[in-house]
Amino acid sequence: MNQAKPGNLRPPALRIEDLQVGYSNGSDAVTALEIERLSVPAGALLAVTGPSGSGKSTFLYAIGALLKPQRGRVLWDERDVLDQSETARDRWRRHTVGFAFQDFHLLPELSPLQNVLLPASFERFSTARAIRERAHALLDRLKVPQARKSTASLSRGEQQRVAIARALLFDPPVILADEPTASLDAKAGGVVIDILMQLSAQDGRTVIAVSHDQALLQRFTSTIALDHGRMSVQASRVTA
Amino acid sequence: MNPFLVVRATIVRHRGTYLLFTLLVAVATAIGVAITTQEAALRIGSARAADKFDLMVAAPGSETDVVLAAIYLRPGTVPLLDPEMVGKVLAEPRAKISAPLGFGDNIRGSPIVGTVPAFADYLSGGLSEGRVFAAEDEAVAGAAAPLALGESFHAEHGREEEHEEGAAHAEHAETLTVVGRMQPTGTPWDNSVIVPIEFVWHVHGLPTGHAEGDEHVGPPFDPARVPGVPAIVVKPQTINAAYGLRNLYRTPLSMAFFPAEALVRLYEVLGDIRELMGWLALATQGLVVIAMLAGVMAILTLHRRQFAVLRALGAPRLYIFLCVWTQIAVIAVAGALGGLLIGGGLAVLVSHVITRATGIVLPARIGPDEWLLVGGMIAFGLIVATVPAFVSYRRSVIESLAAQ
Repeated sequence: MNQAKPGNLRPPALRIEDLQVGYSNGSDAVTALEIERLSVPAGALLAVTGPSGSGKSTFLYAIGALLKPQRGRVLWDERDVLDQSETARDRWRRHTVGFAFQDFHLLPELSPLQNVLLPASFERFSTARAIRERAHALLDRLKVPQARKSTASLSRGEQQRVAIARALLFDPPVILADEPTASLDAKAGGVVIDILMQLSAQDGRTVIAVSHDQALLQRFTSTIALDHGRMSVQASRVTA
Repeated sequence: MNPFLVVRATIVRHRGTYLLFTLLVAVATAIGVAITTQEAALRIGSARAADKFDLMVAAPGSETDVVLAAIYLRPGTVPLLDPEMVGKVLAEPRAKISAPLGFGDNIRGSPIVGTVPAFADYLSGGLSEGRVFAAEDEAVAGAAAPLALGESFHAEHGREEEHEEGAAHAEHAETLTVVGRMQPTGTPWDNSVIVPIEFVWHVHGLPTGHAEGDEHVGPPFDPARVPGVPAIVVKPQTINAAYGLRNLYRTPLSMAFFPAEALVRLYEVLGDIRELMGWLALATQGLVVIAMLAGVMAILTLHRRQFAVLRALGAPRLYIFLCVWTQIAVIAVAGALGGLLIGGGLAVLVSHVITRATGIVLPARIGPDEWLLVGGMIAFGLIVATVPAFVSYRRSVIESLAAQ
């Protein structure tokens, strides 16, 4: 099922089996997400859509190994990431998944370069020089002005590009984006969509984005819709 | 792992609040440091001032009053020792020096003290210039006394502190000339002017301790011609002699004591006060640290989403723990070290003020006690910092990401 893409990366395929995520609301147990089966091929460009509270973000957090489900498995290249220790999941996430968020969550007091380098500070041993060079290269590629001392002085579009550069620091084969264009105007949003497309088309990464943005949904090759935590497949290359 | 990027960003963002927290810790630490430093300085300074006063013989009464009047030259009323006892003590064969002290006059605010030449020399450890007085109209100036060598002056009656502001100062008719200057002693005696005891007795219309026409100063004195004095300093020949003399002059007419013992009793009171103030300072420090933690907790709640994002980016829980712990550690360390500097500076300032007022040099120095206090403050801060760090460590990533 793997579909080879250009670039040096070998993105993993995603398979979900019998996944159920819930939480307790007082005495009631609420199911936030329930997916019987889902396969996403390596290198897919998948959009996840649905109304507010439909479980889109929960889906993203589950496949990013940020939460423990009640049951089920999330397999990346047939390896259950939820079955690992927390330390192993942290390391896996750091090197395999790059997260980008609607509100960027940058540290405005730091420079763009320092923000991009932030994940390197999680490492026990850092290879400072190589990582720095990579951070510079990423900012160049995403056309972020590097001379700024503070990220706060960047436009929102530039800030989202810094956040994407941060997600790419360890060259992860998977990008998970939570409403990446929701707080941007159409032009800046278009640039971000172009970047996500490039990450898939040029680098061969798997890109999964939660979004309501029609511009994004139209350009992504696969889409799934969620409603009340349940999934309906809307486009090709996704096997339910 | 290097949490300093996040720590720096958070501190810069909340710099006003964090500066306030640091100042609070610094002030709390400074209070403790200033108390312990000042108390130690007071002990050392007062003990040094009493070093050369081995044994005091005075009229029965308060030892503290005698110490304050004779050693620290504080104005006060001390009863006069019976003349018969004065005669005996001044003729004491087991004493290297028996120095009667007579107070009551001043020159330009410096107290004039009457005594014997040997004591002036002994107190100073040899003069810095000139010689010891050898006649009734000669004087030796303390190192800081406002008189020049060779200067002649008239003693003013009474102590400067006893004069009403603006009131005219009555001068004695007799002229004194400065013939020597003492070396600095770091005691109130630096500001004094030492004259023959015979001069003090003479200008107050008392017998001078010698036969009519005998103009020599100092011992031997005629026991039948000595008046009462506030105190006599005795430097015994041996330690055995010191204890023997103390026992000998504990009579219904006199008391004899080692000033060191009186000071020890004073220090005990001082020690109790210090302990009480130390506990109060410690309680203040504890409260400040807890208040600071409460403030930091509130700030961290605002940052919980940021920490959750860091976790999503692959930060281990330990990294979050270190981010929070380091922020508080920075405040605790910076505040405690700042407090050490402020407290030390405050103690030096207070010492300076006391030295100017009393002449007692108080060596305010940061010692092991102060380092222990600062170390304790830092250790307490670092330990208590684990609480919010652990709360952040345990916080659910998903709940924090969903938080607004």
